Amino acid sequence: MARGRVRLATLALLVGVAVAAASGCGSDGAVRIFAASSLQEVLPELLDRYAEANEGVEFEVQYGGSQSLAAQLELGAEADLFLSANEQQLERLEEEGLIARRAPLVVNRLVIAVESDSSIAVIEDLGTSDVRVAVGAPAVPVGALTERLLASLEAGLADRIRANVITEDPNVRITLSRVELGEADAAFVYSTDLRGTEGLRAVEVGAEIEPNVYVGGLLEDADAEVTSLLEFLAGHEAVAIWSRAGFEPLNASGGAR
Amino acid sequence: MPRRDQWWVVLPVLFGVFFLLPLIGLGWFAITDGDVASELGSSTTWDALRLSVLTATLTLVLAIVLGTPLAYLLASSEAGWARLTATLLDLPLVLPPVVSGIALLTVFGRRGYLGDPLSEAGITLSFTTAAVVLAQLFVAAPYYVRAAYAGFTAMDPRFEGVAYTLGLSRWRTFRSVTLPLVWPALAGGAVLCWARALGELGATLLFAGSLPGRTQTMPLAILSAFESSAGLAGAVSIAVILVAFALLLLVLLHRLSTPSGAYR
Repeated sequence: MARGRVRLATLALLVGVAVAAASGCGSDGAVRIFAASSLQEVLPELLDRYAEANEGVEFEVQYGGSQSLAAQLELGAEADLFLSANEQQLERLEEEGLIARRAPLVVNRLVIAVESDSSIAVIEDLGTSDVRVAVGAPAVPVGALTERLLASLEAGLADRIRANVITEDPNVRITLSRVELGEADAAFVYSTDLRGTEGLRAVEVGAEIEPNVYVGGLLEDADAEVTSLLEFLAGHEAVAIWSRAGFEPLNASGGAR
Repeated sequence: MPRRDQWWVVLPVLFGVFFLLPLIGLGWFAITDGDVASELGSSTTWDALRLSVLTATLTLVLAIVLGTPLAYLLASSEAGWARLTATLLDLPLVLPPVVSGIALLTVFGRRGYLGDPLSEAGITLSFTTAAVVLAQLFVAAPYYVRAAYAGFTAMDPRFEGVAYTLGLSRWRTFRSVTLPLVWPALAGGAVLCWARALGELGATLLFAGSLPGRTQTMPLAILSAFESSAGLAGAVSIAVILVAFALLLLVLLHRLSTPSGAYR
């Protein structure tokens, strides 16, 4: 009987240790960043550069759709810095009083991703029958941008393109994968998404629409270290890295605040 | 005060609470923050719900029609290939659904191995409602086949033997002897299969996409709502509708699968 109790106590201890280990997984002192999925390629380089000048700083980055991340933060997920792919998501958190400070970072352009040997050369080609087009869901930043673009086109063309849409994806990476897998002939994505992909090229949308502004938001309770990181990301030191990854500085587009 | 030797009852109670609390939390969140009424009035929600029920039910029918003979065949064979096949059938259960979606694309997609012959025959599968059913079938049917296989394996073959010696045909034996014996296993598997198909997300997204009215099932609608500016509140409202609906159908299915409703 006593032995049974000891065993049970050991089991309970093991479970307790496992749960504690899983929940406390290394958040000690590291700067916790929630970043839009489209930053996956560029952010590590930016953070490396920042760490060179600030020894001992550590990061813990969680990537995801800006909306999911915002929702997680709303639900009480703990983070110091939120890098959103558009302003709406950050404003949503500001309304909840979760953001202490914000800074616009860079802009990203909408392009049409097609295969290198595709016959698609201009946006009008997407209105041809039998062309399969992938877009982001209207609720996602890239989808909202696409919707604005279509609305600015001649109505007949916009309708023909909409009729060719085979999917409205919840995430821009999935939209891009439709062309990579050959399931769609064209996909509306950000110009930066095409960096590092093989066998794809960008077709310009050829219309003037307001670009997408990336914004960094400092969460309440974040410490001074995080403020300087945000200043670094929005400052001139980071411009070269952003540009190499295909992002455009704010002043170049002229549209950003 | 429970008896001294019944302390273990605490464990199932704790476990029950663990499952119940999140559901209560979801419902409470939807009531306080969400807007279930407006989602109930939204055509997107109804389209998604209709599509979900339609595809999950089609999946179940296909799983039963194709899976029952397969399970029977595997269970009545002693050969090594039968056991290997039974093991392989478990594979979709452990595959992350997204991987299942990619796997389906490599075969049935436009660039898939069967893509060219299919398109020459004028058939496009990916990104159609049919693709939704195939994705669900791939992910959910193993639950049914697994349960049916276990049922057939556990059955004493002497019952069938006796039926044959009495001169019953193969089909008659299956209908009047085998089926009533394995009914609980089949019904349990069917419920699991249907439920899993209803909740399928990853494979569907990859293989069928997400287009309202055509391929956007409930889970995809919930995902889209989660990503939208309506965000969490919208997603939870739709989720609660799905949960309520699923619960209703599960209760019905369970009634069908209990012995009193069994095939006679």
